[in-house]
Amino acid sequence: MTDKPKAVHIIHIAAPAQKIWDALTDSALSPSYFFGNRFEFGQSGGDFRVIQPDGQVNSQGKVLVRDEPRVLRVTWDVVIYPDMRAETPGEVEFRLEDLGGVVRLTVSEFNRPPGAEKYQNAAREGWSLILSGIKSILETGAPMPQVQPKGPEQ
Amino acid sequence: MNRFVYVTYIRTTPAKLWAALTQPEWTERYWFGCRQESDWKAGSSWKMFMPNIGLTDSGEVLEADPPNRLVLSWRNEFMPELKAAGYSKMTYDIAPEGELVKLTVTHEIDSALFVEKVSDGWPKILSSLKSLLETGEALPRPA
Repeated sequence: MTDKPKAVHIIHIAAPAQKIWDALTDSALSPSYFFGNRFEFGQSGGDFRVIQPDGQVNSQGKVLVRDEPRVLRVTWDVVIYPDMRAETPGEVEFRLEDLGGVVRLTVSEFNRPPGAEKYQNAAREGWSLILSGIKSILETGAPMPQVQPKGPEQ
Repeated sequence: MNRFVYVTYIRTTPAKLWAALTQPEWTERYWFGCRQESDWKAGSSWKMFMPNIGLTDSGEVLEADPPNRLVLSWRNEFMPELKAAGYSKMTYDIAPEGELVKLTVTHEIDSALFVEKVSDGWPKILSSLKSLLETGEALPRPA
């Protein structure tokens, strides 16, 4: 837990930490901000998966920390693109901090060294879309219009 | 060179976002009271003021292509250790994506301290901007 993240993505949201936690962990809600993908978080020590709209497993791992509604940390392997494994994070942590009327949500990518710039840019765009989408749905009550992330440029 | 990059997606139009980034009647609502002064033309100066502080930052407009791109030289004017770092370069890139607008803020300078400070500041400001444009209400000022 003392390691330095290779990338962080931060957004401030006008909603209680519990609501943000629920939005992250509600498998039915996640497709509305995660390009149709579904988050599945088990209990601490349990399984973590990202399921695509076509039913395929996109990513999988283990739940390392589940400290509701503050910290959710998982090991994260992108299994659908085996060639991207070295470029994607080994662990991802979601951290919620109440700053008084606003909650800071920080997503940190850990473990693997920063990948090539094209992967860093693709990860930044993807996480920005996810965090922007969570913020919009909680603050406006409606999902943000869908934009598909472009992914790394080949 | 140290660099901070932040991307956010906002349900708005490029013209509204440009106005929100440059017009003081907008910035003071979501940027915690901040007002900027400039005509936003390449070669012009720009200044930023905060209530209770006065002049906080200043520089020159390096590139202006409304409503797509604005590049500023940017020096902190009220914290001596940051002012000593000299001029940074800050870029707004604004691009429509369907019903959304993608805003990319890039802020770069040699000083690691300067980048650390703006890395803390920009997410608060840009989150508040997104709230204001999408809901009509900015975020409360963080404690």
